[in-house]
Amino acid sequence: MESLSREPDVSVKIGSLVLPNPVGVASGTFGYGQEYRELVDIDALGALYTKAVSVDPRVGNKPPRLVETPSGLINSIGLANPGLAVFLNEKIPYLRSLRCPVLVNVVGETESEYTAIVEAIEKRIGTFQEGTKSPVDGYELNLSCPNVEKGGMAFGTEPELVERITWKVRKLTQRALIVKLSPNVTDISQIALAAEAARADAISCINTVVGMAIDVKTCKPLIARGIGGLSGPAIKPIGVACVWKAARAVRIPVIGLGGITCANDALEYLLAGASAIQVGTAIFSNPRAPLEILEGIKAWMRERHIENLSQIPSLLDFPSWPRALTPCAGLKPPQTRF
Amino acid sequence: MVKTAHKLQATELDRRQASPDNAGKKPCMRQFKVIVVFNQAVSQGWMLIAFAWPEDLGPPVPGQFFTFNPQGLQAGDAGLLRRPLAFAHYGRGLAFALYQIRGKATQALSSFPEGGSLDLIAPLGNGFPLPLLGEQALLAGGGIGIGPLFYLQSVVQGSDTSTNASSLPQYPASKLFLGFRSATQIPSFTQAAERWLRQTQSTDRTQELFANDRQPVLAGLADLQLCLDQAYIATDDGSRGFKGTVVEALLHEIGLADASLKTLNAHLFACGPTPMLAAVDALALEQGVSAQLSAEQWMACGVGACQGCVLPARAGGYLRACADGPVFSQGEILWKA
Repeated sequence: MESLSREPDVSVKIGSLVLPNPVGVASGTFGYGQEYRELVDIDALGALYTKAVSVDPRVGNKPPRLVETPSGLINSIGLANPGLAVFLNEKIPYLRSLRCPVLVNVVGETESEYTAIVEAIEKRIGTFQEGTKSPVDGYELNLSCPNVEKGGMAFGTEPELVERITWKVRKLTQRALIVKLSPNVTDISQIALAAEAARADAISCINTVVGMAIDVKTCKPLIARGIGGLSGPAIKPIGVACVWKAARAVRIPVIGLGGITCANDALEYLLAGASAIQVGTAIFSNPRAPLEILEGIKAWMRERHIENLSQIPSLLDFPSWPRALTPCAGLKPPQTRF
Repeated sequence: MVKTAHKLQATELDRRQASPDNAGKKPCMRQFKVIVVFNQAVSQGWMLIAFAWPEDLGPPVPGQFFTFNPQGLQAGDAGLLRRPLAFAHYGRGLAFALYQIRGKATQALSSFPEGGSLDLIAPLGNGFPLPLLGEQALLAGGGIGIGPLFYLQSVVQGSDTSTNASSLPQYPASKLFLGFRSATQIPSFTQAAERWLRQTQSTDRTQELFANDRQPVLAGLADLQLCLDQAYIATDDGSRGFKGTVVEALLHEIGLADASLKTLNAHLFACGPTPMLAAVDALALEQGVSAQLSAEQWMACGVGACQGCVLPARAGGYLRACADGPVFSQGEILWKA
């Protein structure tokens, strides 16, 4: 009976990094943490995934950049960020003060930009020591942003490119390396396998779904760039399916995101095979959502006497297809270079 | 006196914010629940809402805003994002905001029951700087953008007796110019007050519910009506006051033939549709005076994180309406990008 009162273990291991809990805040919705520090107890988060960092500053796309659609939000921010130099000099000092794991979302127009960013950050924060908190605890490679002309999603839809970029970055860091995948692909399992082959520690899926909305009065698209990335509850089923497929294709942890607004949404992702989750658009509506979701997950685990997060995927009551029959069956694993 | 605003369950963060280390610092933004004590139509399609303001937050600055979570709407029905509204008045523990019924969220807010509790994040954004001593403040509001200027006018004139108005420096009487499409748009706070009194006195329950709020609500409405009565009115169709835009009305009243804005030592404050802000910006540049312009923009986060609400900056790049604004100085924004 003793075990009933025990607090469930909600920690998650991503490569060499241990997340204290599975609930992170998704890149692009939380800035570099400072903007929300008065509203959210950031130290209690499972992870903070920063706004993307590019080598040069990016002003972003022309406004309007946002439109709310049924159960969703289309955005076309265009990876607006102050660039690597400002990140190193002005954002790292603040990130250093945080107690929660910090994963830097990295974006580039070329492969060398991805490596340049990781190299510069590694140089700034010093040698990796397992179990020691550093201002940056890992990287999330953004190979899936739909809102830019070059780079972003253009990389994330080609397994060979995903494998090559991931491997180039892998050689630069022992810190946690996560590859963020796009749902705008024929089969996400292939991309997931490519990331795994290049020794990514985890994959996160999904980034936004390409979407468009048009004003029938003016006959113009509602965002300046025409198409943008759809997020919010509208894409949750797409995200859950992608996680389910990806988790059956790879052995590394899958981090689920897309439309999570409450604990039940998060549990859907965990049951589909996610090891951790991220909350994005829901933060805009309720900045306390991530910590409320964490409490909800723990309550669900206590109710069912689940001691460990890793037990959740096995609870999915659905035939566990043999690997040979999974949707990625017959796929030749990508060529590895190790 | 009035019902205290209900904070959401206190967290470690709240305890840290309340710590003595933070005493005297600029008020932090906070997420909390408020009781709506007043939510009535004031003209065709325009509403005024009032709620108890948390005592420990300190008054919002004119030009600042809050975001509310639309109630009674599902995420699939435009209820996903919060909506921003600017403060139109603050006094005696109550905050007021004017809004126009434009879409589903404001439609839902218009039928939100008095006595109900609304989830807010506030105070947000940078407010208007106060005019310097000796400056002639000229306030121009257009359409639903008049709200923050009512509040600014009451602070500048010290008519808001609930704050430490007596300790404020004395300004030359500021002038408030308000532009409307037509006379039907001009609010009547007096009529709204009468209707609210009748409704809240109709049953024992509402009588009891609103007993403590009656005096602060009525006093706030009286302040707003006084501001309006003393304002210069312009209407596009000439159905009331000056026929033309609010900027034309301002120039007409000042009589630029004999006095330029520079010799008046004028400082312009404006909030309204973009063409109006562009006109005030250009006027201030031409006359060599300062201007403060409050912009309106669609927002997602409202706190500066998402970069969604940006406006093109004259110096290149973009500025966030929520965190760099919503009040910008003359020359900061490229209004006609």
